[in-house]
Amino acid sequence: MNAPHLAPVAPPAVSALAPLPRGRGGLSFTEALSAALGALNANKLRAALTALGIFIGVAAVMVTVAVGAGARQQVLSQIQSLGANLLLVWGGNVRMGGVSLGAGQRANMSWDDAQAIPREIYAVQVAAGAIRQQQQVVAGNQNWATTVTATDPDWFVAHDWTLAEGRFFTVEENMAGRKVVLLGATVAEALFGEENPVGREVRIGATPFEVIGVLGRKGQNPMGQDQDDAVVMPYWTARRSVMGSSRAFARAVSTISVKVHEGEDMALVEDELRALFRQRHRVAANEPDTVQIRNLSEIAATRDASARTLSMLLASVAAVSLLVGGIGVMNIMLVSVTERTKEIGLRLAVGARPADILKQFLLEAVLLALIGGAAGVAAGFALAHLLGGLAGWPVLVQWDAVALAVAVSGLTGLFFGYWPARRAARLDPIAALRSE
Amino acid sequence: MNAPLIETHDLTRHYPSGEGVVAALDGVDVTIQPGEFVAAMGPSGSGKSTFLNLIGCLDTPTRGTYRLAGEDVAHLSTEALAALRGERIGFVFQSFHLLPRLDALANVAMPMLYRGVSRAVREARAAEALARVGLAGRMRHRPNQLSGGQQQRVAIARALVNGPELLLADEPTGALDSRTGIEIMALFQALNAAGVAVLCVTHDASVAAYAARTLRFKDGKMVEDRRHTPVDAAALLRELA
Repeated sequence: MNAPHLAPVAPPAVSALAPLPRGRGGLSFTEALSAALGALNANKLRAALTALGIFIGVAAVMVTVAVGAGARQQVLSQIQSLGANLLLVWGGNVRMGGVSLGAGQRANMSWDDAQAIPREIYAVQVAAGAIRQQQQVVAGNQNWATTVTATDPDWFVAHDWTLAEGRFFTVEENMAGRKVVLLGATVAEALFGEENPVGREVRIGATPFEVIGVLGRKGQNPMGQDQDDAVVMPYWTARRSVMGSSRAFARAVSTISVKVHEGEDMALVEDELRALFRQRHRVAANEPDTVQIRNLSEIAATRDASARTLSMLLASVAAVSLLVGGIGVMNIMLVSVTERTKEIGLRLAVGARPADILKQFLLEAVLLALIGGAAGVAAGFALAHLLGGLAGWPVLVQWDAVALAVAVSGLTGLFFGYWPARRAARLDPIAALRSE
Repeated sequence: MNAPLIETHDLTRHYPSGEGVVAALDGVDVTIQPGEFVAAMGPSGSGKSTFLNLIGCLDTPTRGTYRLAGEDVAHLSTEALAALRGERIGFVFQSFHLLPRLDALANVAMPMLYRGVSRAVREARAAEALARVGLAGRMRHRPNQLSGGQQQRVAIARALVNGPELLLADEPTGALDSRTGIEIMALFQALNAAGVAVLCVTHDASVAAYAARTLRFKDGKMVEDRRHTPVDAAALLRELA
């Protein structure tokens, strides 16, 4: 096999190359990167299958985090809509001739109880007594059955209501029994459609009322009730015009909404409220409380906690799949190191430092995991929106979660790639060159 | 300062083997000057490969000293030895050891990756090295597109590319037919004439004949150190043609 195309090697043509300057730095990052890319490119299918493990893990994390965050945000906004730091006092056990009528059966609290609360308990910001009744509200030829709440202006403060239109009623309007109402967003829409109801007239029973405001939209409460399906009027107006009651209960309220100052201990205020009612209602030491107190945000917080537990559970399942993906990366890197033992020996012989070899193989593993991670983020993003659209779940993609997912997949590559890379770096060049 | 290129004293390498140890190399004293062409000869197991590995800084001696260009390298760290290999030594192997994924130019440029040299300089030097071994027209060929002789020339260009003072060749003609083997030895002689020291390990006396000095190994000891007139490989090729 004499190769005729081989140029004859005449001594004058051959001379050694000038030595490179000594003591230059090792393998640069970009060179290591392009070497790693080249190695992955040489085994595309294998690289893709390995990255698939990371891909699935990251996509699963993305979906669970996005859906979980959406659900939590929904619960949190519901808690907000209830009113923060709110205690609700219900009329409690009323006994008539030894028979308990059950909670809330009789209005055993009075307007004066509500007025007394902020005076007696320092931590309370406002307390507003209220009574409720189902009523038919009529405007022109439209009518709508809804719950009418008759209360104190402080009730708006206690429940964190905002205004969409107009104004709240005043203490003076309440005392004077002025015939004014505020409509919830649902009622305003049902009766007036797109028009602004402020200044218009509605009738409740036979009595005409002036609409002075429309409440800001709150949506559903955590029990699924539409909080905007409501009409609010001054307490004393209702007492005189709509919900006329017997003389015995002329000052009665069915609930008292108590807003506690920010940062105060809710449980302590609950105890103080109980004590106050025992004193005001002259309850004997061996008798049960006359009122019940509920902390609504606590109920909602329980729901939030269970939503959080569920998403933690899902996230840990996703984390396990990421772990499995990482083991796949390690496996393939070990195979790759074994396959390329001779190449590693050669590189060591021509001057690669063990640190250079480590860098090259580690970068390959990180790159593999990052490619899987980036694809997983994209697929997870798409899947979360698809699922959210199909199932009607709220979906919230948090960009810090995306960054975290990519970082975690990179770290997975680093962690699971280190051992194979170190094995490559510690190869004995003589044995490596001799291997087949 | 005219330090010898290679200076060993009592160079010894033991390997653990079963209960005891095997002295693969036992007390070798040798001095090689810059620009020499030396053959290390002996049958397999004679210690010539161990000698090559130690001289090539791929291995460290159990006992004794080794100075490369005046620098004591017997007890350097693996990192420092790697750097030294890159800077001062070029390796040529029997089975070429080219990376099949890379073309000739990239194979030749590879050692410079670990020297922190820019891409432009790497490609220029690799092209120059390939031109000097007569492969200017084969830069974009992959190893499997080249003949055995051409592959060994690419490997020699790779050994040259960092500008080493010493070429270490381990049976460089072992995988080639005799005519191509002579061509490769002619290339080594030409490079040696240009000032590069060559240490060639072989079991073949006809290959050792191209060197100007032969070290003969037997059972881990150097048993002969003889200077002789080398056979001119280029002249032999002209005769054959």
